Amino acid sequence: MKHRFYLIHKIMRRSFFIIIGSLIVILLLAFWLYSLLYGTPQKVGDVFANFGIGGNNNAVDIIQPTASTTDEKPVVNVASLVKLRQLTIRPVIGFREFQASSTAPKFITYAEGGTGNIYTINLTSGEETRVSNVTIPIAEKAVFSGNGRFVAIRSGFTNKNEVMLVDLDDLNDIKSEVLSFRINDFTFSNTDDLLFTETVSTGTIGRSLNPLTKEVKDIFSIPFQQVTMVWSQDGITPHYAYPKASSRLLGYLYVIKEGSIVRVPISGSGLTAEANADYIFFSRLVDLNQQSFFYDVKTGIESLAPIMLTPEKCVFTHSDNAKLFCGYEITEYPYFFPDDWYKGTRIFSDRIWKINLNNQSATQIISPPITVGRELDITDMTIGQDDKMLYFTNKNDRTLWLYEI
Amino acid sequence: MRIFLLLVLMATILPTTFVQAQFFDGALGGELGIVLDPQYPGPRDEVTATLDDYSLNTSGTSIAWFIDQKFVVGSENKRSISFTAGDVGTNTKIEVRLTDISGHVLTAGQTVAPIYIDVIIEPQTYTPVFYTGRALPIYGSTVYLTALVGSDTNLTQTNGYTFNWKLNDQVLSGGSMRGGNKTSLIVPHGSSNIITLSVFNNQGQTIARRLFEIPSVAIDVQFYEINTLYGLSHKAVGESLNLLSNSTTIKAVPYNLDLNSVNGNLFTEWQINGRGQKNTTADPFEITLQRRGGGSDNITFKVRNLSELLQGDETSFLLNS
Repeated sequence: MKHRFYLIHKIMRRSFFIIIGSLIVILLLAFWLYSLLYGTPQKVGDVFANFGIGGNNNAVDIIQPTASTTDEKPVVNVASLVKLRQLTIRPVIGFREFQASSTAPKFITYAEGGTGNIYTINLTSGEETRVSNVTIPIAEKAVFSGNGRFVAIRSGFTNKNEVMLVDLDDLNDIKSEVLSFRINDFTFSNTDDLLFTETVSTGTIGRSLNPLTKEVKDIFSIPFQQVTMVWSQDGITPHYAYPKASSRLLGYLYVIKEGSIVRVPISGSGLTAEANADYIFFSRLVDLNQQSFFYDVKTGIESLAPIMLTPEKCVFTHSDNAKLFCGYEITEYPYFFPDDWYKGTRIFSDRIWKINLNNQSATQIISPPITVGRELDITDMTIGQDDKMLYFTNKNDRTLWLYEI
Repeated sequence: MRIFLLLVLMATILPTTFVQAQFFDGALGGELGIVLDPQYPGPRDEVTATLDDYSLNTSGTSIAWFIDQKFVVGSENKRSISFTAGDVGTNTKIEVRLTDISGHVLTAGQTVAPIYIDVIIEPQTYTPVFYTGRALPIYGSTVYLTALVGSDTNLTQTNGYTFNWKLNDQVLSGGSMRGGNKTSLIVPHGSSNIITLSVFNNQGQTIARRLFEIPSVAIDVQFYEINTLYGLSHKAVGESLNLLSNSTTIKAVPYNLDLNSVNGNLFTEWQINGRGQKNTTADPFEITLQRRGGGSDNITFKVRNLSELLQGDETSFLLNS
């Protein structure tokens, strides 16, 4: 017994504690040094749990774009009789269909990405003409007025994100000016006023600018800054607004009435929406998957949409408010949508669908991989005035496409 | 010892006897109430109303529920019912009636007046101009919060309300503020943080309470090709890139980087096959890569906020030439 106490006493000596303590301090220092030099947290909660064993330091969940299995060689044949055809090989940042009369040929006018040069294509003859060689550095978004006289182009140059207003009235003497506002989003109204939002310290102000008289009016205010606008295209539908979408954050839809915003009973994580006078379609996260719904403005009834409806991929027809065309791929739209699609880490191979909200039907009308051997990630979907042409860009290369309905 | 045990026994039994006496006091005795879940419903919320009669002797009583004076079919002798709250601006009156065997009726009511309380979360972190989504918060970054109180006609002037914000049960802005519908916070440690917002009217009554999650993410670096004429591609490079010409310029975009650090104390480094590269461009987030005679090269970009070491990322892709 005495011998046992002696051993315990020996073990519990001060030097033993000093050795153990030193070892702990060395281990902690080594861990701190390792964390400082190599340890990149994947999540804040993982900081003390991830030692990067296995040599994988990639902290990003990259969703690898699906490798194309089809021929991606561009074929531009504007005058072709094929219903789906590629109109440009240049990247396009904005476009609009023009037709002088119902019997006149249709033209599509577009702005080239990066340069801001403006071209027009005669959709009957296929002839393409450059109408403006005014270069706008790192041009990244363009909007044309309904009469075709004005185009507003955003430049990404020097991170100022300036918006330039170009007057195409006299093609021999094209005038342009930089607008003196911190413009976030912009479009032209049905009366050809430039509508835009500007960030201010209290939130966002919506303004209209008459491009002829340069008169500026405040038309609404929104008490937050990160806004996505659903601009009225017809002058009948009100403008809508919602916080920029993120699958991790809640969004709420507001309608703009008499200069202020009124809540619409639509909300959810990853909320995106588009509207006309009768219907609002929207998508939100439901049980960790994005799902689409439509809301009848008159009855207030919400229904499940037959397919996924993404605002950038869909357009309502002019003749029937219950009908729309959409790009859509039958696939999962999981938790990270639409964030990953906005980032360009997720791409789609869309088919074009016709949707009728009256009977909640969706019909696939063309499959680009089958008909033209291309995988198109459709965005900026628009429709011609007579509902006979769909125009859109392929997000993968920003080329402009046409589908004759 | 005996006296001690006796005292303990008395101390435990006497209060119980007293409570039992309460149960049997009067015809039904005690108070009747309705408990709502959620406590402060929003417009069109699914609401459960539950009978709160724990202090009553309800043996033999019948229960009936009424919504806006109309009997709810199937609610006989149910202790709870579910219904959908009305739209904003409406009042829904919930009533429960208890009738005992001698015909005495006891009623309790609640009025549901739903109101929109939206909280807009605006993280002050970086996203590129072409990204149309919202930035996400990262540890140490600032987040702006805006509460919007919605009536049926417009967003109500917030001066009429008092707002109390809490982050993980810690009061923000020093306490409740009249008209204080805006606040900000610095994202603390943890992958998720809870915001509790209580809204009071001019009489000091709570009119709504909402709980929201503030996520906390990591910096997410993505690579994009830059065309000298056409600008930045909107399609991310992903895990590999086939070099089709003699060179290409790549931009690393650090999603969710704290805005305060974008032009501040940042460490950035490009590596090719593990070897650091001297930055030859004005923009530390850009690199021009030359064809190197076949094979694959591992291109790595590191970014770290030196003012906040937990804000960092290191991402790679393979350049096939």
